[in-house]
Amino acid sequence: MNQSAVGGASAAAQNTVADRVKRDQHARFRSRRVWFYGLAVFIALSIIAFNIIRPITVLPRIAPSPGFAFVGTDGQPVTSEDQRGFLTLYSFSYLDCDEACPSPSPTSPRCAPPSPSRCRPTRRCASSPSASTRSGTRPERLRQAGEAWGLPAGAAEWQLLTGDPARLRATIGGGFRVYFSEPKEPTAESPGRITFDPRYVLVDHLGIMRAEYRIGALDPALLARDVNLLVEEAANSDGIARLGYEAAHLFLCYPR
Amino acid sequence: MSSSPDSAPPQASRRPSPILWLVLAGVLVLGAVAVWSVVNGRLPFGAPSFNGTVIQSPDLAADFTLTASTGERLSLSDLRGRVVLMYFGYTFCPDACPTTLNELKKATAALGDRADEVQVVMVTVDPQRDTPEVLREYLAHFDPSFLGLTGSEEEILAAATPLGIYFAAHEGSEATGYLVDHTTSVLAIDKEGYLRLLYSFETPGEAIAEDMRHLVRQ
Repeated sequence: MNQSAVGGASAAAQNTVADRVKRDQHARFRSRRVWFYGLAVFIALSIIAFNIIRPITVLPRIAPSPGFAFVGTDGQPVTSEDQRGFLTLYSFSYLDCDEACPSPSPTSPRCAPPSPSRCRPTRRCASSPSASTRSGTRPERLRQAGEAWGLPAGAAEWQLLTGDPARLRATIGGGFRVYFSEPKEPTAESPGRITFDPRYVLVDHLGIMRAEYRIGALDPALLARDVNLLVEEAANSDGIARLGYEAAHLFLCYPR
Repeated sequence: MSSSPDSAPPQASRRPSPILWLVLAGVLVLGAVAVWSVVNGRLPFGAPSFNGTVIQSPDLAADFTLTASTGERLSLSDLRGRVVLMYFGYTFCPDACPTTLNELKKATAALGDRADEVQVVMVTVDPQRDTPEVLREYLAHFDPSFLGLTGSEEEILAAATPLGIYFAAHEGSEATGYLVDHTTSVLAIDKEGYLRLLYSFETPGEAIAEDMRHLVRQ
Protein backbone atom coordinates (compact mmCIF):
# COMPACT_ATOMS: atom_id res chain seq x y z
CA MET A 1 0.00 0.00 0.00
CA ASN A 2 1.15 3.48 -0.76
CA GLN A 3 2.19 5.25 2.41
CA SER A 4 1.06 8.70 1.32
CA ALA A 5 -2.34 7.34 0.43
CA VAL A 6 -2.64 5.86 3.92
CA GLY A 7 -1.55 9.15 5.47
CA GLY A 8 -4.09 11.06 3.37
CA ALA A 9 -6.92 8.75 4.38
CA SER A 10 -5.97 9.10 8.05
CA ALA A 11 -5.90 12.90 7.80
CA ALA A 12 -9.29 12.91 6.11
CA ALA A 13 -10.68 10.67 8.86
CA GLN A 14 -9.22 13.01 11.52
CA ASN A 15 -10.79 16.00 9.78
CA THR A 16 -14.12 14.23 9.69
CA VAL A 17 -13.90 13.43 13.41
CA ALA A 18 -12.84 16.99 14.22
CA ASP A 19 -15.72 18.34 12.15
CA ARG A 20 -18.13 16.04 13.89
CA VAL A 21 -16.84 17.08 17.32
CA LYS A 22 -17.15 20.73 16.34
CA ARG A 23 -20.64 20.18 15.00
CA ASP A 24 -21.61 18.36 18.21
CA GLN A 25 -20.18 21.16 20.35
CA HIS A 26 -22.04 23.74 18.29
CA ALA A 27 -25.26 21.76 18.54
CA ARG A 28 -24.81 21.40 22.30
CA PHE A 29 -24.15 25.12 22.62
CA ARG A 30 -27.22 25.89 20.55
CA SER A 31 -29.23 23.49 22.63
CA ARG A 32 -28.04 25.13 25.86
CA ARG A 33 -28.90 28.55 24.45
CA VAL A 34 -32.38 27.34 23.57
CA TRP A 35 -32.76 26.04 27.11
CA PHE A 36 -31.54 29.29 28.61
CA TYR A 37 -33.80 31.49 26.52
CA GLY A 38 -36.66 29.04 26.95
CA LEU A 39 -36.39 29.19 30.71
CA ALA A 40 -36.08 32.97 30.71
CA VAL A 41 -39.21 33.22 28.59
CA PHE A 42 -40.98 30.70 30.82
CA ILE A 43 -40.17 32.67 33.98
CA ALA A 44 -41.20 35.92 32.34
CA LEU A 45 -44.44 34.32 31.19
CA SER A 46 -45.03 32.97 34.69
CA ILE A 47 -44.67 36.47 36.14
CA ILE A 48 -47.00 37.89 33.50
CA ALA A 49 -49.45 35.06 34.17
CA PHE A 50 -49.30 35.88 37.90
CA ASN A 51 -50.23 39.45 37.03
CA ILE A 52 -53.02 38.47 34.67
CA ILE A 53 -54.50 35.59 36.63
CA ARG A 54 -53.86 37.27 39.97
CA PRO A 55 -54.23 34.28 42.23
CA ILE A 56 -54.00 36.72 45.14
CA THR A 57 -55.50 40.19 45.04
CA VAL A 58 -54.55 42.84 47.56
CA LEU A 59 -55.29 46.49 48.27
CA PRO A 60 -52.32 48.86 48.11
CA ARG A 61 -50.68 50.05 51.31
CA ILE A 62 -51.10 53.74 50.59
CA ALA A 63 -49.74 55.46 53.70
CA PRO A 64 -50.01 55.31 57.48
CA SER A 65 -53.34 56.45 58.74
CA PRO A 66 -52.79 59.75 60.55
CA GLY A 67 -52.33 59.74 64.28
CA PHE A 68 -55.01 61.62 66.18
CA ALA A 69 -56.52 62.21 69.62
CA PHE A 70 -60.16 63.32 69.40
CA VAL A 71 -63.24 63.02 71.58
CA GLY A 72 -66.42 61.08 70.99
CA THR A 73 -69.99 62.23 71.57
CA ASP A 74 -69.70 61.09 75.19
CA GLY A 75 -66.72 63.41 75.67
CA GLN A 76 -64.33 60.49 76.11
CA PRO A 77 -60.99 60.52 74.25
CA VAL A 78 -60.67 58.42 71.13
CA THR A 79 -57.24 58.00 69.56
CA SER A 80 -55.89 56.43 66.42
CA GLU A 81 -54.24 53.78 68.61
CA ASP A 82 -57.71 52.64 69.77
CA GLN A 83 -58.41 51.49 66.21
CA ARG A 84 -55.39 49.15 65.99
CA GLY A 85 -56.41 45.60 65.31
CA PHE A 86 -59.64 46.59 63.57
CA LEU A 87 -60.71 47.70 60.14
CA THR A 88 -61.93 51.27 60.22
CA LEU A 89 -63.79 53.38 57.71
CA TYR A 90 -63.37 57.13 58.05
CA SER A 91 -65.63 59.76 56.60
CA PHE A 92 -65.57 63.53 57.02
CA SER A 93 -68.35 65.99 57.42
CA TYR A 94 -69.62 68.89 59.47
CA LEU A 95 -72.89 69.33 61.20
CA ASP A 96 -74.47 72.08 59.12
CA CYS A 97 -73.56 70.36 55.93
CA ASP A 98 -76.36 69.65 53.50
CA GLU A 99 -76.38 67.85 50.16
CA ALA A 100 -72.62 68.15 49.57
CA CYS A 101 -71.71 65.85 52.46
CA PRO A 102 -71.65 62.08 52.58
CA SER A 103 -74.97 60.65 53.68
CA PRO A 104 -75.07 59.98 57.42
CA SER A 105 -76.63 56.61 56.75
CA PRO A 106 -75.90 54.09 59.48
CA THR A 107 -75.11 51.49 56.81
CA SER A 108 -71.75 49.89 57.44
CA PRO A 109 -69.74 47.30 55.55
CA ARG A 110 -70.28 43.78 56.70
CA CYS A 111 -67.47 41.44 57.49
CA ALA A 112 -66.70 38.41 55.42
CA PRO A 113 -67.80 35.18 57.08
CA PRO A 114 -64.30 33.67 57.58
CA SER A 115 -63.29 36.01 60.34
CA PRO A 116 -66.06 38.27 61.55
CA SER A 117 -64.26 39.00 64.79
CA ARG A 118 -61.58 40.88 62.87
CA CYS A 119 -63.99 43.53 61.73
CA ARG A 120 -65.11 46.22 64.05
CA PRO A 121 -68.08 48.44 63.43
CA THR A 122 -66.94 51.21 61.20
CA ARG A 123 -66.29 54.67 62.45
CA ARG A 124 -67.07 58.08 61.22
CA CYS A 125 -64.88 61.03 61.81
CA ALA A 126 -67.32 63.92 61.78
CA SER A 127 -65.53 67.16 62.12
CA SER A 128 -65.33 70.80 61.55
CA PRO A 129 -62.16 72.87 61.61
CA SER A 130 -64.06 75.58 63.41
CA ALA A 131 -64.66 73.70 66.62
CA SER A 132 -63.68 76.61 68.78
CA THR A 133 -65.98 79.10 67.15
CA ARG A 134 -69.06 77.15 66.21
CA SER A 135 -71.25 75.27 68.57
CA GLY A 136 -71.75 72.53 65.98
CA THR A 137 -68.64 70.60 66.86
CA ARG A 138 -68.85 70.34 70.62
CA PRO A 139 -69.38 66.75 71.74
CA GLU A 140 -72.81 67.58 73.10
CA ARG A 141 -73.93 69.11 69.81
CA LEU A 142 -72.41 66.19 67.94
CA ARG A 143 -74.39 63.77 70.11
CA GLN A 144 -77.63 65.60 69.36
CA ALA A 145 -76.90 65.50 65.65
CA GLY A 146 -76.04 61.81 65.88
CA GLU A 147 -79.38 61.10 67.51
CA ALA A 148 -81.13 63.04 64.77
CA TRP A 149 -79.29 60.85 62.23
CA GLY A 150 -80.31 57.69 64.02
CA LEU A 151 -76.86 57.26 65.52
CA PRO A 152 -77.17 57.56 69.30
CA ALA A 153 -74.05 57.63 71.47
CA GLY A 154 -72.46 54.21 71.45
CA ALA A 155 -74.06 53.30 68.12
CA ALA A 156 -72.49 50.19 66.68
CA GLU A 157 -72.16 51.46 63.13
CA TRP A 158 -70.60 54.86 63.39
CA GLN A 159 -68.76 56.81 66.01
CA LEU A 160 -68.81 60.57 65.70
CA LEU A 161 -65.61 62.36 66.60
CA THR A 162 -64.51 65.92 66.99
CA GLY A 163 -61.60 67.74 68.56
CA ASP A 164 -59.18 70.58 68.77
CA PRO A 165 -59.15 72.66 65.55
CA ALA A 166 -55.37 72.37 65.08
CA ARG A 167 -55.48 68.60 65.41
CA LEU A 168 -58.51 68.37 63.14
CA ARG A 169 -56.69 70.37 60.51
CA ALA A 170 -53.52 68.32 60.83
CA THR A 171 -55.41 65.03 60.76
CA ILE A 172 -57.97 65.66 58.06
CA GLY A 173 -55.97 67.94 55.80
CA GLY A 174 -52.43 66.76 56.49
CA GLY A 175 -53.07 63.11 57.27
CA PHE A 176 -56.09 62.01 55.28
CA ARG A 177 -55.35 64.60 52.58
CA VAL A 178 -58.91 65.85 52.41
CA TYR A 179 -59.06 69.33 51.01
CA PHE A 180 -61.33 71.73 52.85
CA SER A 181 -61.67 75.47 52.91
CA GLU A 182 -61.64 77.53 56.06
CA PRO A 183 -65.22 78.04 57.27
CA LYS A 184 -66.86 81.42 57.06
CA GLU A 185 -68.98 82.73 59.87
CA PRO A 186 -72.65 82.25 59.00
CA THR A 187 -74.49 85.36 57.90
CA ALA A 188 -78.01 86.08 56.79
CA GLU A 189 -76.92 85.59 53.19
CA SER A 190 -74.63 82.62 53.65
CA PRO A 191 -74.91 79.67 56.05
CA GLY A 192 -71.09 79.59 56.46
CA ARG A 193 -70.41 76.47 54.50
CA ILE A 194 -67.12 74.64 54.38
CA THR A 195 -66.04 73.51 50.93
CA PHE A 196 -64.42 70.11 50.92
CA ASP A 197 -63.91 66.95 48.89
CA PRO A 198 -66.14 64.16 50.17
CA ARG A 199 -64.03 61.11 50.89
CA TYR A 200 -64.11 57.77 52.64
CA VAL A 201 -60.89 56.11 53.75
CA LEU A 202 -60.55 52.45 54.66
CA VAL A 203 -57.79 51.71 57.20
CA ASP A 204 -56.53 48.23 58.03
CA HIS A 205 -55.83 46.60 61.38
CA LEU A 206 -52.21 47.85 61.32
CA GLY A 207 -53.26 51.47 60.89
CA ILE A 208 -52.42 51.71 57.19
CA MET A 209 -54.68 53.42 54.67
CA ARG A 210 -55.69 50.80 52.11
CA ALA A 211 -58.41 52.43 50.02
CA GLU A 212 -59.72 55.92 49.34
CA TYR A 213 -63.15 56.55 47.85
CA ARG A 214 -63.47 60.05 46.50
CA ILE A 215 -67.23 59.95 46.22
CA GLY A 216 -70.16 61.28 48.19
CA ALA A 217 -72.15 58.04 48.22
CA LEU A 218 -70.14 54.90 48.77
CA ASP A 219 -71.16 51.74 46.92
CA PRO A 220 -71.70 49.10 49.64
CA ALA A 221 -70.71 46.30 47.23
CA LEU A 222 -67.36 47.96 46.51
CA LEU A 223 -66.73 48.50 50.19
CA ALA A 224 -67.70 44.92 51.03
CA ARG A 225 -65.28 43.62 48.38
CA ASP A 226 -62.42 45.67 49.84
CA VAL A 227 -63.25 44.73 53.41
CA ASN A 228 -63.26 41.06 52.41
CA LEU A 229 -59.84 41.43 50.76
CA LEU A 230 -58.42 42.94 53.94
CA VAL A 231 -59.99 40.30 56.15
CA GLU A 232 -58.61 37.52 53.92
CA GLU A 233 -55.16 39.09 53.88
CA ALA A 234 -55.11 39.48 57.65
CA ALA A 235 -56.28 35.90 58.11
CA ASN A 236 -54.02 34.24 55.54
CA SER A 237 -50.79 36.19 55.33
CA ASP A 238 -48.96 34.56 58.22
CA GLY A 239 -45.96 32.28 57.78
CA ILE A 240 -45.24 30.97 54.31
CA ALA A 241 -48.45 32.38 52.83
CA ARG A 242 -47.09 35.82 53.61
CA LEU A 243 -44.66 35.42 50.69
CA GLY A 244 -47.57 35.01 48.30
CA TYR A 245 -49.16 38.19 49.62
CA GLU A 246 -45.88 40.08 49.46
CA ALA A 247 -45.47 38.92 45.84
CA ALA A 248 -48.99 40.19 45.14
CA HIS A 249 -48.00 43.58 46.60
CA LEU A 250 -44.75 43.53 44.63
CA PHE A 251 -46.54 42.81 41.35
CA LEU A 252 -49.30 45.34 42.16
CA CYS A 253 -52.08 42.75 42.03
CA TYR A 254 -54.81 45.22 42.88
CA PRO A 255 -58.51 44.71 42.19
CA ARG A 256 -59.64 45.95 38.81
CA MET B 1 -40.98 -18.17 13.97
CA SER B 2 -39.42 -15.01 15.17
CA SER B 3 -38.26 -12.20 13.00
CA SER B 4 -34.77 -10.84 13.35
CA PRO B 5 -34.31 -7.33 14.82
CA ASP B 6 -32.96 -6.16 11.51
CA SER B 7 -36.15 -7.02 9.80
CA ALA B 8 -38.42 -5.27 12.37
CA PRO B 9 -40.43 -2.37 10.97
CA PRO B 10 -39.00 1.03 11.97
CA GLN B 11 -40.83 2.40 15.07
CA ALA B 12 -42.12 5.93 15.18
CA SER B 13 -39.85 8.23 17.19
CA ARG B 14 -41.08 8.53 20.81
CA ARG B 15 -38.75 11.36 21.84
CA PRO B 16 -40.75 14.02 23.66
CA SER B 17 -40.88 17.35 21.92
CA PRO B 18 -38.54 20.12 23.12
CA ILE B 19 -41.57 22.16 24.20
CA LEU B 20 -42.58 19.44 26.63
CA TRP B 21 -39.05 19.35 27.99
CA LEU B 22 -39.12 23.12 28.43
CA VAL B 23 -42.45 22.99 30.26
CA LEU B 24 -41.14 20.24 32.52
CA ALA B 25 -37.97 22.20 33.17
CA GLY B 26 -40.02 25.30 33.90
CA VAL B 27 -42.16 23.43 36.39
CA LEU B 28 -39.00 22.09 38.02
CA VAL B 29 -37.51 25.58 38.21
CA LEU B 30 -40.68 27.01 39.73
CA GLY B 31 -40.74 24.14 42.20
CA ALA B 32 -37.13 24.80 43.12
CA VAL B 33 -37.91 28.51 43.51
CA ALA B 34 -40.84 27.69 45.78
CA VAL B 35 -38.70 25.36 47.91
CA TRP B 36 -35.93 27.96 48.04
CA SER B 37 -38.42 30.63 49.13
CA VAL B 38 -39.80 28.40 51.86
CA VAL B 39 -36.34 27.46 53.15
CA ASN B 40 -35.00 31.02 53.05
CA GLY B 41 -38.21 32.73 54.00
CA ARG B 42 -37.93 35.39 51.31
CA LEU B 43 -38.69 36.02 47.66
CA PRO B 44 -36.16 34.91 45.01
CA PHE B 45 -34.31 36.91 42.32
CA GLY B 46 -33.20 39.55 44.78
CA ALA B 47 -36.75 40.73 45.44
CA PRO B 48 -36.54 41.70 49.09
CA SER B 49 -39.13 40.36 51.47
CA PHE B 50 -38.94 42.93 54.20
CA ASN B 51 -39.43 42.30 57.89
CA GLY B 52 -41.24 45.61 58.23
CA THR B 53 -44.60 46.41 56.66
CA VAL B 54 -44.03 47.79 53.17
CA ILE B 55 -45.75 51.04 52.24
CA GLN B 56 -46.37 51.68 48.53
CA SER B 57 -47.11 55.37 48.65
CA PRO B 58 -46.41 57.19 45.40
CA ASP B 59 -45.92 60.43 47.37
CA LEU B 60 -42.84 61.61 49.18
CA ALA B 61 -43.07 61.66 52.98
CA ALA B 62 -44.39 65.08 53.99
CA ASP B 63 -41.45 67.39 54.63
CA PHE B 64 -41.05 69.29 57.88
CA THR B 65 -38.45 71.44 59.57
CA LEU B 66 -37.50 71.15 63.25
CA THR B 67 -34.56 72.03 65.49
CA ALA B 68 -31.93 69.31 65.65
CA SER B 69 -30.02 68.26 68.75
CA THR B 70 -27.03 69.95 67.12
CA GLY B 71 -28.88 73.26 67.45
CA GLU B 72 -29.46 73.72 63.70
CA ARG B 73 -32.79 73.86 61.91
CA LEU B 74 -33.11 70.67 59.93
CA SER B 75 -35.66 69.50 57.35
CA LEU B 76 -36.48 65.90 56.58
CA SER B 77 -35.49 66.62 52.99
CA ASP B 78 -31.97 67.56 54.18
CA LEU B 79 -31.47 63.88 54.98
CA ARG B 80 -32.07 62.68 51.39
CA GLY B 81 -29.32 60.37 50.25
CA ARG B 82 -29.44 58.45 53.53
CA VAL B 83 -32.03 56.02 54.81
CA VAL B 84 -33.79 57.55 57.82
CA LEU B 85 -35.03 55.44 60.70
CA MET B 86 -37.46 57.73 62.47
CA TYR B 87 -38.93 57.30 65.90
CA PHE B 88 -41.20 59.58 67.91
CA GLY B 89 -40.50 59.44 71.64
CA TYR B 90 -39.25 61.53 74.57
CA THR B 91 -36.44 61.48 77.06
CA PHE B 92 -38.65 61.01 80.15
CA CYS B 93 -40.23 57.96 78.53
CA PRO B 94 -40.02 55.15 81.06
CA ASP B 95 -40.14 52.03 78.86
CA ALA B 96 -40.94 52.00 75.14
CA CYS B 97 -38.43 54.63 74.04
CA PRO B 98 -35.28 53.17 75.62
CA THR B 99 -36.30 49.71 74.40
CA THR B 100 -36.76 50.94 70.83
CA LEU B 101 -33.58 53.03 70.84
CA ASN B 102 -31.65 49.98 72.05
CA GLU B 103 -32.97 47.97 69.11
CA LEU B 104 -32.05 50.78 66.74
CA LYS B 105 -28.57 50.82 68.25
CA LYS B 106 -28.30 47.06 67.57
CA ALA B 107 -29.51 47.65 64.02
CA THR B 108 -26.86 50.25 63.23
CA ALA B 109 -24.17 48.15 64.91
CA ALA B 110 -25.16 45.16 62.75
CA LEU B 111 -24.83 47.28 59.61
CA GLY B 112 -21.10 47.79 60.18
CA ASP B 113 -19.51 49.91 57.47
CA ARG B 114 -22.86 50.76 55.94
CA ALA B 115 -24.19 52.28 59.16
CA ASP B 116 -23.20 55.74 57.97
CA GLU B 117 -25.77 55.40 55.17
CA VAL B 118 -28.52 55.17 57.78
CA GLN B 119 -29.52 58.05 60.05
CA VAL B 120 -31.50 57.33 63.21
CA VAL B 121 -33.72 60.26 64.17
CA MET B 122 -35.82 60.64 67.30
CA VAL B 123 -38.45 63.38 67.16
CA THR B 124 -39.57 64.36 70.62
CA VAL B 125 -43.25 64.32 71.52
CA ASP B 126 -42.44 66.32 74.67
CA PRO B 127 -41.01 69.60 73.40
CA GLN B 128 -41.53 71.29 76.77
CA ARG B 129 -38.84 69.22 78.44
CA ASP B 130 -36.77 67.99 75.50
CA THR B 131 -34.54 70.85 74.46
CA PRO B 132 -31.80 70.20 71.87
CA GLU B 133 -29.25 69.83 74.69
CA VAL B 134 -31.37 67.35 76.63
CA LEU B 135 -31.94 65.33 73.46
CA ARG B 136 -28.24 65.32 72.58
CA GLU B 137 -27.24 64.12 76.01
CA TYR B 138 -29.95 61.45 76.10
CA LEU B 139 -29.28 60.04 72.64
CA ALA B 140 -25.52 59.94 73.24
CA HIS B 141 -26.20 57.18 75.78
CA PHE B 142 -27.36 55.02 72.90
CA ASP B 143 -25.25 56.23 69.97
CA PRO B 144 -23.71 59.67 69.47
CA SER B 145 -24.69 59.55 65.80
CA PHE B 146 -28.41 59.44 66.65
CA LEU B 147 -30.07 62.75 65.91
CA GLY B 148 -32.80 64.38 68.01
CA LEU B 149 -35.41 66.80 66.67
CA THR B 150 -37.59 69.19 68.60
CA GLY B 151 -39.78 72.23 67.95
CA SER B 152 -43.05 73.78 68.94
CA GLU B 153 -45.97 71.47 69.65
CA GLU B 154 -47.66 72.63 66.44
CA GLU B 155 -44.55 71.85 64.39
CA ILE B 156 -44.25 68.40 65.92
CA LEU B 157 -47.95 67.75 65.43
CA ALA B 158 -47.66 68.70 61.76
CA ALA B 159 -44.68 66.34 61.38
CA ALA B 160 -46.15 63.42 63.31
CA THR B 161 -49.77 63.27 62.13
CA PRO B 162 -49.20 62.42 58.45
CA LEU B 163 -46.74 59.73 59.50
CA GLY B 164 -49.39 58.00 61.57
CA ILE B 165 -48.03 59.11 64.91
CA TYR B 166 -50.34 60.20 67.69
CA PHE B 167 -49.26 61.72 70.98
CA ALA B 168 -51.07 63.20 73.97
CA ALA B 169 -49.81 64.19 77.41
CA HIS B 170 -51.49 62.90 80.55
CA GLU B 171 -50.92 62.99 84.28
CA GLY B 172 -48.17 60.79 85.68
CA SER B 173 -46.98 60.32 89.24
CA GLU B 174 -45.12 62.84 91.39
CA ALA B 175 -41.89 61.11 90.52
CA THR B 176 -42.38 61.11 86.76
CA GLY B 177 -44.33 64.30 86.27
CA TYR B 178 -46.64 64.18 83.27
CA LEU B 179 -46.23 61.37 80.77
CA VAL B 180 -46.90 61.35 77.05
CA ASP B 181 -48.80 58.56 75.32
CA HIS B 182 -47.51 58.07 71.80
CA THR B 183 -47.36 55.67 68.89
CA THR B 184 -44.32 53.43 69.17
CA SER B 185 -43.78 52.57 65.49
CA VAL B 186 -40.42 53.07 63.80
CA LEU B 187 -40.56 54.42 60.25
CA ALA B 188 -38.00 53.83 57.52
CA ILE B 189 -37.73 56.55 54.87
CA ASP B 190 -35.60 55.67 51.86
CA LYS B 191 -32.80 57.69 50.29
CA GLU B 192 -35.21 59.46 47.95
CA GLY B 193 -37.57 60.51 50.72
CA TYR B 194 -40.33 57.90 50.37
CA LEU B 195 -41.78 56.25 53.44
CA ARG B 196 -41.04 52.57 52.74
CA LEU B 197 -41.39 50.53 55.91
CA LEU B 198 -43.16 50.52 59.25
CA TYR B 199 -41.93 48.55 62.25
CA SER B 200 -44.11 47.73 65.18
CA PHE B 201 -42.86 48.04 68.75
CA GLU B 202 -40.18 45.50 69.75
CA THR B 203 -39.13 44.60 66.21
CA PRO B 204 -35.61 43.20 66.77
CA GLY B 205 -32.69 45.34 65.66
CA GLU B 206 -31.33 42.47 63.55
CA ALA B 207 -34.55 42.35 61.53
CA ILE B 208 -34.37 46.11 60.96
CA ALA B 209 -30.70 45.82 59.94
CA GLU B 210 -31.58 43.11 57.41
CA ASP B 211 -34.08 45.46 55.76
CA MET B 212 -31.65 48.38 55.87
CA ARG B 213 -29.13 46.36 53.87
CA HIS B 214 -31.68 46.22 51.04
CA LEU B 215 -32.68 49.87 51.33
CA VAL B 216 -29.14 51.27 51.32
CA ARG B 217 -28.39 49.32 48.13
CA GLN B 218 -31.37 50.80 46.28
